[in-house]
Amino acid sequence: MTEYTPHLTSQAESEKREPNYLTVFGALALITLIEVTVVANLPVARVPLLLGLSAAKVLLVAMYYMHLKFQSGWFTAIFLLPIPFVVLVTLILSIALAPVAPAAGSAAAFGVCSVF
Amino acid sequence: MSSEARSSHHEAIHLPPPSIAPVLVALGALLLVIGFLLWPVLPVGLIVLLFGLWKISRAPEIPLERPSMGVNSRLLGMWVFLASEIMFFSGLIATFLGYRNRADVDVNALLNVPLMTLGTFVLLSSSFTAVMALSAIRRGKLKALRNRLLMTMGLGAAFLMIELLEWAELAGHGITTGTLYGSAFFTTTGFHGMHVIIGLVWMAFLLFRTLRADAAAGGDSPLARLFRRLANQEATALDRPNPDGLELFGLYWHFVDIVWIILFTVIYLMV
Repeated sequence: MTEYTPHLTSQAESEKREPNYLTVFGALALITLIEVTVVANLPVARVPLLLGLSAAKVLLVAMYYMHLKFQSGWFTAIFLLPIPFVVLVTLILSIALAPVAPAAGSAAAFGVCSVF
Repeated sequence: MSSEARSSHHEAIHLPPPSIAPVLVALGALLLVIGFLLWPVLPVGLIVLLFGLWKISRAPEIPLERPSMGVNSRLLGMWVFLASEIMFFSGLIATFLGYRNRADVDVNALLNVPLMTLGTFVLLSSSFTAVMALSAIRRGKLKALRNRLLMTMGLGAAFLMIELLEWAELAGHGITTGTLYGSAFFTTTGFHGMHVIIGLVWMAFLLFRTLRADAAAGGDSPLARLFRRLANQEATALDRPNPDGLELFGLYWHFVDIVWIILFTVIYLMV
């Protein structure tokens, strides 16, 4: 294999811009290990902790591997733009698709279910 | 307009010359999907898709040295696409959350958490090798680029194998698309798996360009010699690998990784 002159950036420039990817990978692996071995077996506060750790992993990947930390703020804005939609869809579908016990099921809940 | 004038016009506004290749790729992808329902169409779709990809591989990549409005337009396009993907997967995940408690059996006891933890590590590793491939291309190291792309492909394929093992295990326990839980589970993980497959095809395409660039630059590896003999190419500026293409692929691949991070938590850990 041969070497060639890259299109855009010199070696020094690209080295200066790059984060330590190995450290990021180590952090991602460590968080996953903690999730699986410790947090998933906790008797309380399991779900919020798992969601928090997942969010931390997503942020690490987006900021360092996808370079959001080093690029235009427009890209971060576009990445965050669908989040309200995500929350809305999750809430609506969680309510609409949740099993409703006949005795406890309110008319409102039944109405939402029948719409979907 | 003469071809010379047309060429200088496109150079002036930084557009590639007109090409039928994107249309062929889109048509091939459509036929491929139809082919899953009508099997005779499948090989036709595959051939059209591969022919379109081959034609695209022969077109020069447009470098992003002169972005419009201060924002790199190709990266902007990819981020908009990823935003639409976030909405797509959020619908699937929300549906899964709605149906997760609708199984007739205790599915949580059937899920193979250790196996899919291994799958998660494999996919995280593939993200690492993908970003290291980008680092290699920025430094102009073709050999490292080739090796890291191959590693990423191998890890992506290994993840798919692990996912298939899990699917087979669950199907063996009666969790199929005929159940509410099964349909939500297989649709969500299936669409993620399909994204992994698309990523693998994209990687194969990038690897092809890398090997061709090596051949054009006078590389002495057996593959480079084979490429040179087949294509009889001379080195040109267009054959130099472009980091921008790999960066776009990297965004897609890391997004697929992000989706799995969320799916793993929702499906396997929040039980």
